[in-house]
Amino acid sequence: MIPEAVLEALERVGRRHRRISRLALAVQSLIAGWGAAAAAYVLYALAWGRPPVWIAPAAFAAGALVSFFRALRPPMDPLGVARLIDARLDLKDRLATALEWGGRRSPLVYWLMEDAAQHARFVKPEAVVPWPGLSRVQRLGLAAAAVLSVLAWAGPLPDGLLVRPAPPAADAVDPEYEELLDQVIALREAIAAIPTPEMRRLDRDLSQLQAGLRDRSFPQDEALALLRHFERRVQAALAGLSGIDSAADPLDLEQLQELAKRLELVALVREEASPGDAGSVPPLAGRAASPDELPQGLLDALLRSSGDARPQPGAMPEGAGGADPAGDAAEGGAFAVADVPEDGAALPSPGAVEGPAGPASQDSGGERDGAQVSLPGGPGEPGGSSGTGGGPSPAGDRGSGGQDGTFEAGQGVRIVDHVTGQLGDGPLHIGRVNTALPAPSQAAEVPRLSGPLASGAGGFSEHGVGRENVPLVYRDAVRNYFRSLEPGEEP
Amino acid sequence: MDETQLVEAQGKLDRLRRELGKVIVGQAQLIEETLIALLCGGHVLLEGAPGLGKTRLVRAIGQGLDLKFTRIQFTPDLMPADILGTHVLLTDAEGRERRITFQPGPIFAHLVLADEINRATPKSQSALLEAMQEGTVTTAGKTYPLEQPFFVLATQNPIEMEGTYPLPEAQIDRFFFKLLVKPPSKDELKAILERTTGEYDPVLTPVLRRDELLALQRAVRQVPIASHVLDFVVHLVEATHPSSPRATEEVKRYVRYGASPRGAQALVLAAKGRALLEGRFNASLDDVVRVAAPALRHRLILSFEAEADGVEPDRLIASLVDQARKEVAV
Repeated sequence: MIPEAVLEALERVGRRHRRISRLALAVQSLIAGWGAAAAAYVLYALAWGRPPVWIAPAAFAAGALVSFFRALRPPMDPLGVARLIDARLDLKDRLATALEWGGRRSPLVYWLMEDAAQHARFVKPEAVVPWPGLSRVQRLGLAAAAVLSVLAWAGPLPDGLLVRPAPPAADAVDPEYEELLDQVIALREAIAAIPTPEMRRLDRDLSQLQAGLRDRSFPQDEALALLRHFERRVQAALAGLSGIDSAADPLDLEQLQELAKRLELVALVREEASPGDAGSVPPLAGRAASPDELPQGLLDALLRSSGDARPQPGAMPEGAGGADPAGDAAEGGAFAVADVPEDGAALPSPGAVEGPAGPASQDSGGERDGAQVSLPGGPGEPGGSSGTGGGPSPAGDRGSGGQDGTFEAGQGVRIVDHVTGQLGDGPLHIGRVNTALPAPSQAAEVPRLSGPLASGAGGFSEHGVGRENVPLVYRDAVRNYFRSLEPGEEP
Repeated sequence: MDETQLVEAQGKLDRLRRELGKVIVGQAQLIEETLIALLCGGHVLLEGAPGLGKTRLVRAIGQGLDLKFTRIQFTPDLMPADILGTHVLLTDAEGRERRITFQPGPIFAHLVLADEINRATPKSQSALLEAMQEGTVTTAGKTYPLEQPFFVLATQNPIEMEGTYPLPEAQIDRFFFKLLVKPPSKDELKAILERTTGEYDPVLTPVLRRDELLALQRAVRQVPIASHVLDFVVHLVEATHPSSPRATEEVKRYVRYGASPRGAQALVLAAKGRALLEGRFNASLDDVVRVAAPALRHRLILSFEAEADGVEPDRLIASLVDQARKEVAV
C-alpha cells in the first residue's frame, strides 16, 4: 500500500513538471523558429539576393515545428516522477522503491513505506522542478545570437554571392580579348612561314593561346603575359635564324611582325623566275603585300645587316630571312639591292640572272625617290636587279632603271641602295634572288647569280602538313612533291 | 525480527564500528566494507602490504562479534587436513573401546582468518572452496555442515611473490569482496603510534551476538530494491565483458573476462547490506556505486596489456559506473 503522502507528492511534482515542460518547449520552439528564420534569410540573401517575403515565416514555422516535435516527450509517469524526486532531493531512491514495492507485504517494505511517506511530506515541487534557467554562458550566447540575427536581418548583406554572372553572349565581342586574339593570329601568321622546329613549337603554343582566348578560358592578364612571352621567343628565334641580331634587337613587335610577314612572303615563293619570263611573275601562294607594309628603314637595316653577313659568292644562303618589297598597283615602290662589281664592269647578262621578275617589271612606274639599283642589263632587261643573298627579292624595274651604285674593290657584292618605282597593277610577288654576285674576275666561275626559293619548299611543305590542312593519307604525297622541288631533286 | 529489533541491531552495528575503531585507526571504509560483507554472509579477501593491520582487524571483528574465531597461517607445507580436519583413532577413558572419529579442523569456526592464503599450495587453497561456497566440509566421504555464520577473511601480500601461489580465478570469485588495505595517513599513523607503543591495550567487548547477526543477514535479503537499481547492476556487469555491446574501448582492450553473475549477486546483496548498515530500508543506486569496486575488482580478469600499461581494475570500474549511471538516469 503506497502511502498517500507519496502519491500526493508525485501528483504535485508531476503536474508542475508537465506545466514547465510545455512552457520550456514553447520557448525553445520559438527560439528555434527565430534562429531558423534568421539563418534562412541570411543564407538566401547571401546566395541569391534578397529573399522573397515568405522565406522568413516559412523558415520560422519549420524551425519551430521541428524543434517542438523533436523535443516533445510524453508526460512523465509516476515512477519517473518518483525517480526525479529521489534524484533531485537525494532521497536514495526511497520514493521509487516505495512505488514499486507498494503491493508487497514484508516488514522491511512496511518500514520502507513509512520512511518514504515521511520524506514525501517535505517534498516541494518547486525544489524538484525549478524554473528552467540558463547559465551565464547560455544567456550570453542567446543574447549574442539574437543581436546577430537582428543585425543580419536589418543590415546590408552582399547580394547573391552564389549567383553566377550571366555568361557573355556568344556574339558579344570583348575588345580587349579581340585585340589580344588579333595579335596572336598576327604572330602566328608571322612565324608560320618559318619552318623550324622552334617556330613549330611556338606555333603550337600560340594555337593553344588562341583557342584559350577564343573561348575566354584564359584570363586576360595571363593571356597577355603569355603573348609577350611568345613574342620574346619569336624575337629570339628570328634573331638566331637570320643573323640579324643587331638589327632585330631594337625592333619592336610591330617591326618583327612586319619582318615576319616579309619572311613569309619570301618563303612562299617557290617558283623560279626565268629570264625569259621577265615581266610576268607567276602567281604565288596567295600572299601579297602592299607598299604600306614596307618600312624602308626596317628593310634597310635588315638588308644591311644581312649583307654584312652574306656568304661568299657562289654560295647559296639557306636562311630565309629577308624582306620582300611589295608593290602596289598605283605607287608601289620596288627596291632592289644590287651588288655591283667594283670596277664597274658589266654584270652578267640578264639572262644569267635568275631572279624572279616581279610584275613591276611589266609596268615601269615612275621612279619615286632614292637611288636605283643599276644593273648592266639596263632598261628592258628582265630581272635587272638582284637582291642580296637571302635578303630582299627585288623587282626589276625595266623602264627606269639607272645606275647609281658604289662599288668597293675586292668585294663580291654589297648593298647599294633601294630601288623604288612604280609597279604595275596587282600584288607584288617577291622571290628570293641570289645576290651573291661575284667579282668580275670570278664571274665566269659563278654558274648563276640568283636562285629560286625552292630550297624552302621542304619547310613549307612540312609547315603545311603540320597545319593538318592536308588529309593524313595525302601528307606523304605532299611532302614528296615539295621535296621534289628542292634544287637538285628529281621531280 | 520486528522494527524495534532491527533498529536495535542497526544500533549494535554502529557500536561494533566504534569498537573496531578502538583497535583500528582510520580505515573507516575498510571497516564498513568488512561489515557489509559480514551482513551479507560473504567472505573477504584482504590485500595489503605487511604491517597494515589486516590480521588485527580480523581479530578485532572476531572479538567484537562474540563469535568463534580461528586463525590458519597458510604455509607451503600446509595440508588440506590441517584446514578441514582429519579422522583420528580415539580410545575411551578405560581404553577398551577405540573408534575413529572426525577431528574438525580450524575451519570449523564462525570467523576464520586465513592468513597469507597465497603462500599455501593450490591443493590446500582448494580445501577452502567447498567450505566457502557451500558452507560444508566433506572428508572421508562424509559431509559436515559448518555452523553459521561462517565468515572467511583471507589476507594476502601483493608484493611478496617469491614462494607464493596466486589464487586461481575460481577461488577468487568465491570471495564476496576484495578489500585493499591502504597505508594510514600521517595523522592516522601518529594515532597508531600513540596507541600501540604505550600501555593502552584496548579490550573489545562483544557487541553483536550470533543470533542477531544471523537475523541481520536474513534482513539484508529482504531489503527492497528498485527495478532501475537492478537495471543499473545489469548494465554495469554486462559492460565488464569485452564481448558486450556495452563494453567501452578500455574494457575491450584491457579486460579478458568480465564479472560473473556471482559478481552481480554480490553487487545487489552488498547494496542491500550497505542500505541496512546506513539505517535505510531500500537499496539505492548510490549503494551499488559505493560497493561496485570491492565487489568487482577481483572479478575482472585483466589482460597482459592492462598489466603492462598499469591499468587498475578500480579505474575501469569507475568509468563503467559513470557510463551505467548515464544509461539509467531519469
